Amino acid sequence: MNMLPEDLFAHLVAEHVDFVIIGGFGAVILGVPIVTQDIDLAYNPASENIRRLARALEPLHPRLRVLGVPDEEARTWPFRLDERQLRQASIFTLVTDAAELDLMSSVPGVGDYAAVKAAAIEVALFGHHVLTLDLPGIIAAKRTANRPKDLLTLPQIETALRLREQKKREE
Amino acid sequence: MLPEQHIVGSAEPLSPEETRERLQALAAWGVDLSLVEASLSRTPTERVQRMVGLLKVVEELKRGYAAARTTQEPDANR
Repeated sequence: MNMLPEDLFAHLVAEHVDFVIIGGFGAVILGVPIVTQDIDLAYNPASENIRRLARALEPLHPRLRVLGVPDEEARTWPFRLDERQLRQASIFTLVTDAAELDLMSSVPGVGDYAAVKAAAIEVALFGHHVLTLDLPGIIAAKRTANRPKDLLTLPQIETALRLREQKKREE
Repeated sequence: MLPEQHIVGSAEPLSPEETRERLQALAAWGVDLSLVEASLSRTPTERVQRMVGLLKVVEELKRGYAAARTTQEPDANR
């Protein structure tokens, strides 16, 4: 499927969802030249925010992403990402009309949503101001995940961090 | 790649000299510093648009490959 991140963020911002972009997509936003097929978001699990999140994603037809199950089949399942669903779990692996989307209310290696937000920085993306977990937080999360695919991206993420530090010192 | 050759990324604060040494080690490991530098010079939106463009190329290549296989192996789906 084609990734249309501008659509996803337009809906989230329009509904005032409290979220932070994390993972590989966050790394890309902050200048790491890697390619990732999904968008990972941390969200504030407070009741009002869950309502906003459900409202923002509804027009994008969220459905479950399950290994070995074609999207055509997943679309037929009686799954609805509503407030009730969002309260029952803290991690969701989804497909939407805009992107493959992973949602979580905390990030191992960083902490709960408040800790994730404290480690985030604001960036301008497609004309919106959004929060992205900064590179040290992304590094901490990937080191904690400790999967080969995460470990392989760490040198590139650290390079972006070190070059950014070097540039700041020169300014 | 042997495990000991893999540089595990760190975010610990480094002195200017340590940063230079670390960047040399990362380049020796295989990171193309010029690619990272070029990416840092773009805006966040440009970085995402560039990645989405690369994903589209990959999807096109996959479709082309699948179509070519179907043409070459007409009995494969029977």
